[in-house]
Amino acid sequence: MAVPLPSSDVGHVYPNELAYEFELGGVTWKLLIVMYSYFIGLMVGSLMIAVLSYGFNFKKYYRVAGIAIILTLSLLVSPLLGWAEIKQPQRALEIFLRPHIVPSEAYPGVSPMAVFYILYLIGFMLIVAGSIFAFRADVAKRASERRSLIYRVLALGREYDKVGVERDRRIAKTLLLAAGLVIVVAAIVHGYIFSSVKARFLWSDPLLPLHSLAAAILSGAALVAVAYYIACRVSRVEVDIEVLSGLSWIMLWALVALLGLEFMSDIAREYYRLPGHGMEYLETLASGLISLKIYRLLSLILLVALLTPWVRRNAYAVLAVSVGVLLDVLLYKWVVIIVPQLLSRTGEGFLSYTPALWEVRVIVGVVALMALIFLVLSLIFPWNGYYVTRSDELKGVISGGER
Amino acid sequence: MSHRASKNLKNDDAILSRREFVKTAAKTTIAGLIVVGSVSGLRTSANASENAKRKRRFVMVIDVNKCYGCYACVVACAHENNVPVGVFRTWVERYVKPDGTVIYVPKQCNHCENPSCVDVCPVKATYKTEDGLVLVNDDICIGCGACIQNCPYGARFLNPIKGVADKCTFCDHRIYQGLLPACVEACPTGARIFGDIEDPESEVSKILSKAKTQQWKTWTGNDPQVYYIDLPEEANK
Repeated sequence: MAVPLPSSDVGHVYPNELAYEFELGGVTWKLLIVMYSYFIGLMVGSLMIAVLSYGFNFKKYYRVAGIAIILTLSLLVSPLLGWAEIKQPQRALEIFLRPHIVPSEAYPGVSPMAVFYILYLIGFMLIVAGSIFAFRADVAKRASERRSLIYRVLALGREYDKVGVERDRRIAKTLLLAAGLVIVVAAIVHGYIFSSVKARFLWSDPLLPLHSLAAAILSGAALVAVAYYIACRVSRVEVDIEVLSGLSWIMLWALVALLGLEFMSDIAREYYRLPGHGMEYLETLASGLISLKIYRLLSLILLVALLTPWVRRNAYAVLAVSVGVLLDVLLYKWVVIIVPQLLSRTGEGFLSYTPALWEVRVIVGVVALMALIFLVLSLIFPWNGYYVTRSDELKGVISGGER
Repeated sequence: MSHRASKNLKNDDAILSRREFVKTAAKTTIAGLIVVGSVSGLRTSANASENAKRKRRFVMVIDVNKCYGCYACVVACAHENNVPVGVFRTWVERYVKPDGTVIYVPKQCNHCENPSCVDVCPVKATYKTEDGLVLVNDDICIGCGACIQNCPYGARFLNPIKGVADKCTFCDHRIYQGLLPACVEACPTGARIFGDIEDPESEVSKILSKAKTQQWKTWTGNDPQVYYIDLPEEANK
């Protein structure tokens, strides 16, 4: 195997940074980590929509609460992408078994990655448990109607009655509120995995965890809007424009928060800039990146679109904006994760990265798994919001829930 | 008593007993957590007190003026530690001054006092020994790359053969046998000096007490334990 020699425009880089050229990439965390972070964000965002409805009783989002929770459940497998990236995947469970909480002389710090996974595991269990209770009344109703084994198992012995429905609703509310809290903290810690890396100039940003949370809510709302639209079309159910309008408001606020935080980060970076800390090279890098330019342009277009009242009241326009937002956040993740690694730790050289085919294959596989889980769950559970646990009509009458 | 009332009473008994069970379980859990927490705390205190009476602290001094770029240290390290082609536990950087003078600067893991790589390891595979060495446990490392990202010196790499994070160990398998690290032993000019800084009679202690030395990238707060004599400005990046 020939050792790749740096071309003249690489600049000053450490030899071990170039070692990653062996795998067609000059970066340590590659496309799989970009997609992993993206899908984690989608999961967090869609859970937030579900929590708004189940936890905080925002009636506007009742219609998408079911699909949001089904999306959350299907996106829970996102860490498979991170798992595929690590070199010793068979040891992944060590994250939960090794000492983390009490620092010692040998292990002085607390790893943000470990804290994230511990929180994620707790959130995972709360989401699954909360989803069972969120759908159990419907499941129990179907079990009594259809005598289907799967519904009888999922009902967990619950009979369909008013007391049970109310109790399940309370339990689902508690569990999903707890899940929302844990997952929001996990999302912030996920951002901190990057911002705790002081060796990277662009990651050393205390606002990065908040960027990450804003991007997650932005993309999650967009995904719920797209999924809701498609599900309505497939099921021949009328699209409720009020729901899409509500989701576009969430997207607007999240986009404003994301762009505002980025602006503040840029100001802080400029304020703390030190000569010789790679700032000149950083500017050279930023000026040459097409992904960064497209991201900024697209963000601006989306902001203008979401600020337009007509767009928020038109289903096709909201759909187009949502697809744009999903692309925009993907570009954001690329810009946040890959670009800072293209600048050498010396601050005086550049690295390169081209995604490899195996990475694309893994992504296709995991996305297919997510789609399969989504399809199966949306066939089992009522997705469209007209169901007993959440419906307004069930304040007094149980039987009027399902349409 | 009607059948329904009796059933309700039974249910109440069941609820009470269940409540008692939950209470007992909660008390047991809290007590268990307190015991585990205390033991962990004691263990931490014990480690801290061991640290206070630390006997050794291995450091390296590199005299840049003595290095003439023969790369014997790089070859010796690769040979001693079976380092794969394309990755380096130690390397030598070459700088040319405007007047044409060539300077060679050997670099490697700094075995920092506050190692940022150790903090981020999600499985605690990388750790600091009592003697100040920063090492990686090959049997636990999951190869996630977090430590590699967080090393400001580019001293860590993913070993393409073993699939775990790898770096300089100060040849721990040699130094505890009374030998010097391979790079130090191979250096023909004595540019690399290795020893225990806690021992006032050691060569490194004498050099560090007399000569003016520099550390690499002090702004990181890592407190590197590889000291340089006459480290040029352009190499301190």
